[in-house]
Amino acid sequence: MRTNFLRALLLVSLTLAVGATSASAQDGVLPSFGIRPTQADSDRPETFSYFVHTLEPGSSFTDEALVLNEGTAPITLKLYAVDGITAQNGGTTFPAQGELSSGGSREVSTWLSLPLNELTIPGGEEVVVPFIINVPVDASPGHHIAGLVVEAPPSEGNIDSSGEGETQFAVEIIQRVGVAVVIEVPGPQGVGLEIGGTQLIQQSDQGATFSVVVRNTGNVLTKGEGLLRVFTTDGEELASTPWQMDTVLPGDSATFEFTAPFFMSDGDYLINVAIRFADGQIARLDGAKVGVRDGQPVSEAPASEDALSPAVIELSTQPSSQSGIWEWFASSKMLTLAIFAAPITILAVFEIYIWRKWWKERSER
Amino acid sequence: MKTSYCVWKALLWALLAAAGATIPARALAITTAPISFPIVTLNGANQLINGSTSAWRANATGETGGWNVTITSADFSNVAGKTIAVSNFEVRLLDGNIVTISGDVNRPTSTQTTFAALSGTALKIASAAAGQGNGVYDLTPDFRLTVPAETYTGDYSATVTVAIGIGP
Repeated sequence: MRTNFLRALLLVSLTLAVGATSASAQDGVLPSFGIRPTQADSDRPETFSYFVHTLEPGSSFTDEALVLNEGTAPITLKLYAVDGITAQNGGTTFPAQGELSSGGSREVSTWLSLPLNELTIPGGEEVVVPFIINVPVDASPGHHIAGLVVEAPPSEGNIDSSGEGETQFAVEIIQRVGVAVVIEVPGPQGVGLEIGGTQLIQQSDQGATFSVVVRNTGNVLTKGEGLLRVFTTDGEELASTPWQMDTVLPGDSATFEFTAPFFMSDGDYLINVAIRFADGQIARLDGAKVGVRDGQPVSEAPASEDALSPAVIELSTQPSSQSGIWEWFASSKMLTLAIFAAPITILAVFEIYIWRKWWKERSER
Repeated sequence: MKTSYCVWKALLWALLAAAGATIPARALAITTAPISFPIVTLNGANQLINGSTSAWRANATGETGGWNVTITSADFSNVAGKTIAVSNFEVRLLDGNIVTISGDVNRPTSTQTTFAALSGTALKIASAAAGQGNGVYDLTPDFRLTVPAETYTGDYSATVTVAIGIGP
C-alpha cells in the first residue's frame, strides 16, 4: 500500500516537474534576469520578496542577494545600490545609478556595501552576492529604503537610412530589476499625509482624469484609500470616485493620476479630496477650483458667476468588467481559499465514506 | 478496493502538496520589446505619431510581495545636438492590454490608463498588490510622440528605462 502511495506521488511530482520545466523554457535569447533575497523569515511574508531588517543606529548586518540569469545566453549586468523613491502613481521604485532621493531615503544607498559592481552570469545560472548594511550612528527612527538593482546593457534602437526631409525616431531600452532593502530603525514612529493639490488633467472617452499630489510627512511607509468628490460652486455634490493610494515613502511627494468614469460638462466645479490612512486617519483637501471649457480643463477656473453653463456630470456608460460580488470574490482571498478547500473537502468525504464502509464490514464480521 | 482508495488518496495528497509547495527558485523579471515609430516628413506643423511595440513579458512566478513596472525616458536628441523634449513622449497601458499567460488570475492592473508624458521621474504603469500577480503576464503599452512644428530634420534617439521592482 505504501509502495503504491509513493509510486503515485512520484508520478504526479514528475509530471508537475516536467510541466514546470517546459513552461519556463520560453525565455529564448532575450535577456531575462532578476534579483531576490536568499533567505526569508516565515513570520514576515514580505521577506520572501524583498529585504527587511530592523537595525539599531551604528549597527551592521551582512545579507545576501541572489542574482539569476534566466535566459539561455550569458549576460553581463551592472549591480548597484540606489536610494528608494516613490514612483508617480505611488509604490517603491529606484532612480538611475548615482541619482539620489530628494525625500527621506536620501543617501540610504550609501548604507549598503557591495563587493562588485558588475557580474557576468552564464545562461540559466545564478550568483550569490553578499552585501553589508551599515546603519549610521545618527540614523533617525523609522523606515529607510534603498534598493539593489541589476541592469542590462541598453538594446540598440534601429534607424534605417532616411530620405530627404525625413526624420526618424529610435528608442533604446535599458531593462532593470530592483529589489527593495527596507531598514527599520527603532524609535518613535510618526504617520502623516498632506494633500498638496488636485487638478483635472483631461477628459476623454474614458472619463475625467484627475491628479492628486500627496506628501508623506511621517517617517514610515504609508498607503491609503482616496475619495475624490465633485461639487457645484453652490455646494451640491455631483459625483465621486474612489482611488487607491499606493505606498508613498517617508518624506516623499508623489503624484497620482486616475480616471473617473464620468464626464464634466463646461462649467465650474469644486473638488474635495480625502485620503484614509493608518487605521482611520484622514487627510483632506477641500474646495479646489476646476473649470471646464469646450470639454477640457482650464487652468484658472473663473468665479462662479462667470460660468458659461450650469455644471453637469454625465456618468460614463462603460460597463463594468466584473459584477460586484464576483469582483469581491476574485480580489479577496476567497478564491484561493476555495481552490484549496475543494480538494480537502473531497478527500475528507472520501475518507469518511471509506471508514464508514470499513466499520460496517467489520461489524458484519 | 483498498488499493484503489490508496492510489486516489495519494494522487489527491500529491496535488494538494503541489498546489501549496514552495515555488521553484526564480526571480521577478521583465523582457521588453523594441519601441518603433514611423518615419515622419516634417511639414512645419505639430504631428502626432503612434509608436508600436509587442508584448513585454513580466515573469513574476512565485512572487507574492507585490511588484510594479515603471518607465523613465530622456529627451530625444540627434547628432547635431537638437532635441525634442521628453514631455512630447507619452505612454499608457490599457487594462485590456494586460494578459495572463499563466498563474494567478488576479493579474496586475494598469496604473496609467490614459496617456501621460514620460520624464526622468519613474512613472508606474502597472502594479500587483501583495498576494496578487503571482504568474506570467504580457503587458503591451501604447506610445505616442508629438513631433513639434519646429523640429529640425535628422534622426533622433532616446533612451527609455523600463524597471520592474519589488518593494513595499
